[in-house]
Amino acid sequence: MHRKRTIEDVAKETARILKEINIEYAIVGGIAVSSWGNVRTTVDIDLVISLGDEDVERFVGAFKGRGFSVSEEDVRSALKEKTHFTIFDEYSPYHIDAKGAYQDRELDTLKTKRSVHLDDVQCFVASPEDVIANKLLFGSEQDIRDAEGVYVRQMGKLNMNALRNLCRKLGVLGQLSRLQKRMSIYTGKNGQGKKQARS
Amino acid sequence: MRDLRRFRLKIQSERESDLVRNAVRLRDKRPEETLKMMFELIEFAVKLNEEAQPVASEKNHRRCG
Repeated sequence: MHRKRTIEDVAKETARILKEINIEYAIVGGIAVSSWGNVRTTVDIDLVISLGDEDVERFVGAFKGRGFSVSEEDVRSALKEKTHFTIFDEYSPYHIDAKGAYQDRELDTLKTKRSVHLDDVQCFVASPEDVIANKLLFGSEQDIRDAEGVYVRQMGKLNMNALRNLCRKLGVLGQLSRLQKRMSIYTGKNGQGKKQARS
Repeated sequence: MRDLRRFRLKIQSERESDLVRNAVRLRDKRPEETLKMMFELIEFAVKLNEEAQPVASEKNHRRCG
């Protein structure tokens, strides 16, 4: 490694590259969680991208020209098999995990993405409703904690109809109801707060 | 066994209340602000890891030597 890039540098550079080559994307995963919910660490930048076979060459070329390492063959094979591929940063231990928008779920993520500015760089991040619904779908202990954090922090600002519809579509409406019930102990139905969280 | 279950429930409840308290504290923050907090936290963890490694290897060296 010749010099060091921080994870913020990697996120900004990714956003700049994707803007330059006009590829639609949304940042999901830990960065989206920290945007809308509780702050936590991560070592990767997770992306959902709208990438066609015809875009692969310039996509790979653009990243390679900016200090990243990615194989064109890996990208093509991931698109074909509808899985994810990894872009490694040559200047830091961070990496980018990208997944094409293969199904309705990912297309919805792109459709509802939000704009967030990191200094002068515009980044697109999955919406809080999308983060909650997908985290409930993935369902690990960490995912559920992430969803709870976003739900509480965004209480009163969430588009509840959109959230319920998305959860219904993903088959996690029951999980959403249980999350709301658990959190209502602390927040009340209107987010006014019943039980004080220990301080 | 019963005590262990009670203990785990207590831990779970404390974790949940910590999570809620943290999320409530961030309610007025913009996503840009909490993203900066996240980036700082990650850089702090990286530095801590770098500082800790020489100490750990020195200890191992002493133990093996």
